[in-house]
Amino acid sequence: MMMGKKPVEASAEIPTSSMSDIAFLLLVFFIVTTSMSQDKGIGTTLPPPGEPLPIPKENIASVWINNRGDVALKMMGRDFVTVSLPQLRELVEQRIIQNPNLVVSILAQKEADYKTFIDVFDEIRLAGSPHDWSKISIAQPPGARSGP
Amino acid sequence: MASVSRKMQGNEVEVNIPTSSMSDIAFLLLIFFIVTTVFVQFRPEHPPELPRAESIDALKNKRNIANLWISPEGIIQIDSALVNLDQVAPTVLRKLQHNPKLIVLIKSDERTKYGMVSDVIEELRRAQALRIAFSAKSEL
Repeated sequence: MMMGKKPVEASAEIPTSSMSDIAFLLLVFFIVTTSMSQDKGIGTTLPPPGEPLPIPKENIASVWINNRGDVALKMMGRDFVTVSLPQLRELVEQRIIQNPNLVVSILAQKEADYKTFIDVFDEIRLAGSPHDWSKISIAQPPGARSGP
Repeated sequence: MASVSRKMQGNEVEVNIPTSSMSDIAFLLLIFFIVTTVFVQFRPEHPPELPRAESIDALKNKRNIANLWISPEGIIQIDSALVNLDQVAPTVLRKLQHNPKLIVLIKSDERTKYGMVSDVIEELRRAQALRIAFSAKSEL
């Protein structure tokens, strides 16, 4: 920085050495106050309001959840069987291999815990392709407010 | 390696880190953070105990998410408003008009009765809010 020397030069410099300190301070403040937590959840798409699509009976597997949190599975040609969650996943998995068009319908009673519902929903999603949301249907519990 | 050989030479080299552009870098980062930040806008009146699940997706864009809390007592809160079951559909409809890509994230407590959640889902269907998600914690 060798410049031509001028006779009179008033030094008019803004001190910039602490500028980066200030900037970093603000930066750290913003990083700390930012909530990085991402929302996580089980995504699904509801069917549009109106008449439900007719589904052939052989493509339906019903899962019932009763008020006590017991889970029962009914598939074509068989009666309801009470199952545990791992069993449910295994059975639905087998069934999906036999019939790729299988639609799993979840019907929970009104007094069932939400936790049980999510557990069942989770297992069924793991059994099928986790990103195909259309193969799981949520049925309305008996005695619910009338639909649209 | 270069520094080692320099030391071995014995003569001292003046080392200056140029700090004049440091503030530019810092401000650039700062502005980037300010722009990308979405502040936490809403807090629930009754923070729920979320259920755990394995097959969860990350919902990427916070701007497209409407939070819907359901407490075990059946108190429903949509973003900032506490609402009745009957007001769910109009409230969500209004939000959908502002943002058609809206996803309603149902943050229900795990002890909530399923009937309550089902009623809310039915209301959402009525409001054509068909993209929904059930908020859950990761099982790990």
